[in-house]
Amino acid sequence: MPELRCPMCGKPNAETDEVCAFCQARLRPLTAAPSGSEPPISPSSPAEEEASDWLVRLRAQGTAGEPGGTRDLSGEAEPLPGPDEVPNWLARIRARGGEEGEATPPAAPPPSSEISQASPPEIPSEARAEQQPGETAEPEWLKRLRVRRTYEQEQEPEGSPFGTPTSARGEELPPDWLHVPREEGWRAPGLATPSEGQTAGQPAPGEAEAPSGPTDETPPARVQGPFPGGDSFSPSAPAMGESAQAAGQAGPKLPRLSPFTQGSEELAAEAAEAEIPEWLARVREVTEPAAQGGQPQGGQEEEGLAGPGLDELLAPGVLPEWLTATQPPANAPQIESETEEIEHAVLPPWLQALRPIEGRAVKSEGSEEERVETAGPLSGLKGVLPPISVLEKVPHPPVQREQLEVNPAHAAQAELLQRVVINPESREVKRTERAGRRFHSWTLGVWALLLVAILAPGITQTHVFARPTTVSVETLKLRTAINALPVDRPILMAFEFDPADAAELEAGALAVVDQLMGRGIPIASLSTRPTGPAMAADVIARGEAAHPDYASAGKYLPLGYLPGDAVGLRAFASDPRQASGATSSSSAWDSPFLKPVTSLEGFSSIIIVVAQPQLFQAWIEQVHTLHPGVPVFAVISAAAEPLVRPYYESDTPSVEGLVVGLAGAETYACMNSANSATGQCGSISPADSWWDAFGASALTAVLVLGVGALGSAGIALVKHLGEKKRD
Amino acid sequence: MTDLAGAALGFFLTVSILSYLIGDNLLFRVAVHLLIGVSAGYIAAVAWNSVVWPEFLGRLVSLSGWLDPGVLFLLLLTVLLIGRSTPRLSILGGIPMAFLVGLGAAVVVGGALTGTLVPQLAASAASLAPFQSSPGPAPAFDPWTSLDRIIILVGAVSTLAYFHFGASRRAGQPPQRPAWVRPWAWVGEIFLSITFGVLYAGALAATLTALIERLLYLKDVLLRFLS
Repeated sequence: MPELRCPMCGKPNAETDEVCAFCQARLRPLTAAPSGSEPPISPSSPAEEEASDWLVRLRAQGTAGEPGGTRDLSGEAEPLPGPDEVPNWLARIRARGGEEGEATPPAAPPPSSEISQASPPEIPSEARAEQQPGETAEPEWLKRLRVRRTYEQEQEPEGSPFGTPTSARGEELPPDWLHVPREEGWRAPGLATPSEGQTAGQPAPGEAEAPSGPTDETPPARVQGPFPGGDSFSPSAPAMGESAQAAGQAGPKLPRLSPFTQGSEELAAEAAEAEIPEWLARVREVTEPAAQGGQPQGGQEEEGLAGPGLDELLAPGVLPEWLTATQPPANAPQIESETEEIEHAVLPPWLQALRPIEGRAVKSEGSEEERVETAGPLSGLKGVLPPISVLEKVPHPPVQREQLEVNPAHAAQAELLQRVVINPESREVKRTERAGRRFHSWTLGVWALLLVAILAPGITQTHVFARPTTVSVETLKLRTAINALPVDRPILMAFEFDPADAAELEAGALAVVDQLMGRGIPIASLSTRPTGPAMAADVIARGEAAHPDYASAGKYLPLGYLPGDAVGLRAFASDPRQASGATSSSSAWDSPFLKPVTSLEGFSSIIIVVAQPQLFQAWIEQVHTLHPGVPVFAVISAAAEPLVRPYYESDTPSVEGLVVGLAGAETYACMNSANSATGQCGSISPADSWWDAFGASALTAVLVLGVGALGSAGIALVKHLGEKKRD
Repeated sequence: MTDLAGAALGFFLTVSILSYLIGDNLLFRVAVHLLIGVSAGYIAAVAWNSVVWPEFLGRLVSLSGWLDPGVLFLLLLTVLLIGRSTPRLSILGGIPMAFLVGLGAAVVVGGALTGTLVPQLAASAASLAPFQSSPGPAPAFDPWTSLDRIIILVGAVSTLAYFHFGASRRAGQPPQRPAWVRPWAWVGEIFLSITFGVLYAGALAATLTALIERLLYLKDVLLRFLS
């Protein structure tokens, strides 16, 4: 036996089946019925008479099978073209289909039970015939609403008080968009396909004859769908035209609406009445008398289906509690009281601190009185513009002060900021006054102490502070190394300081230069600072003043300014003559002391006089790493000592001797002029003349710092004790 | 006479600078503006006399300079650098700037590695054993050197720990350093305080020396004028 596979579930079915026995899906696609399958629309219907002439002509063309006529939107198939107009391929298909149709018997209609379960609510042809006149006067949404109501009523089981939801039976209520194809395209199974061998005018099973006569005036009839609860749609069931009589005869068998459904139907009907536009009300006025006259039983049926009212539904015990709770609120204050009883969630403090300020929704302005515009182009119009702008209506979010944790320091700063913002001029005046008072009190006092400490030893010619009696190892190494240098090879001195550092560095540099000139070692000066050559010239000039024979010998070789910082130093380390040849005076490199110098190895050693540790690092990193065989010494400021000393203290020192600050200069100068017999310092050097002033001022500075630190600590302690007492 | 005028000018400028003790005033501003102007002029003169003319423009005067590729390269970079003066051609100035920055960075980084970083790391990586090698048959017992190196090790590690800013978050608490970092960071803070104290002492000594030199200079000038 040939099988027909279900396109939905794929299970085999009998070839004659219309719907799948397993999933109730339609096995054969719907095809348009031939034009003669439905009774032709009576041209004498009032709707047709009211229609315009062009519509009548178009419909006549469509029914007459004229080519080019409009397509009947009611679902009727267009007339087939004649044999002459049909192409060959279509003619062959028709011929083959005709042979098969004659060979196979007409398919039996499916069981009514299956139809009731599977097929959607169907519109019998009578209903369609009755609907057609009303279609011209009734909008589409009203038809859908009526179809939906009828379907809901017929889906309700008889025994349940509230009715079983359609979803509980697995039959979801079809959405609105599904109503359109059902109303327009669905037919009774007998009318569905022409292959079932039905001819025009022959009613299909379950299809009653269309009522004649006044059916045109009747309101849109309800759609009779499959009966729930096993009552399937049968051919003997009353058709729509006989609905009044059938309702009267088979009253108990008719599905009754449950009280709940009926109550909601009433509410929905009231709402629908309120929403009906005026034109529909006029249509109702016209159609209601006819409906009452034509179908008097219909009203009785509706009364019988009405069931209990809303009061009965709202009686205690009828509806479940959850359903009662979802009833619309009787009054707003009751809801507010209920919401207030809801327990608020407990948020942690950190979350409360992060929580944004709560805002409130803008209230609807629909209830406010509309304002009539009195001026401008909108004059005389009412409610065009809102009385108050929306932004003005937004309430300010509440400031939750209790959530802010403001400590006293922050509060003081906030108060200061507020004061500054409110009155900035007063703040500026106060600041000037405070600055002036501070200068006159503390600053001048400290400066006076320092002035006295510096000038007093020189004025009183007292030597309170003894000269350094111990010589540091790094200073002694420099002196020893200079004493061991050859006299015929020049030494390179880098003057890397500015006039601001001259006081400290010139003392040490002058002591070293004094030793070099004393030994007659040629000195070549170089600087990567623009002010360096001037500083070098000043130091050399002061040294030559003490060694006149050195100046006449022409052993000072100024190489000038070396541009480029680290890059220039690298170039000088690679080729000193090329890097500084053009910048130096021609006589320097032409001197007999520099002629043999072709590389940095030609210098006996390098002495760096530097105030900033970065410049010292540049010399070490760019020059000493390239020529580690050339010993490097340094005369440094006391401020640079902490950063320069690691280069000396390491196991493989980059610098072999140091003269640090004024103390190193004083020690070096003392060694230069020391009496070999007694070991006492000889001539007075600049560092020696400043030594007592330096000692006194340093002691004063330390005392001031100590007193200040103790005073600050005491004030802080007193404040702390005071706060403790207050607490 | 010139020496006297120079001494008087130096006295006036020094007093003008020191007048800042009583606040910002006209003398201080005049002295500062004069110092900045003279410094800029002096630096420009040095740059012209030492670099621009002898190294670049002076060589372009002769024909041999135009045949020198080094001089032509300098000329090309200079022309491109002038393009930075106009927004339309400023992109051309990026070439000499890139050359200068790239070359300088390469030189500085290479020198820092070989001249500072590696030697300092090698100096820090010393044996902590109290027995040091000696010319004698037995190693010399030198606990102070060992203690010195231990201090260096602790100082280096704790200072690095102080600059470890990684912190873990906990609910309801501010971010905190890991527990093992906190004591090391505290020790590192002490080392840093000592270091900054030493730096401040050195800066104070240098500043006091400069002040002493200026005040004694004023005294000498005053005594010269008075005498």
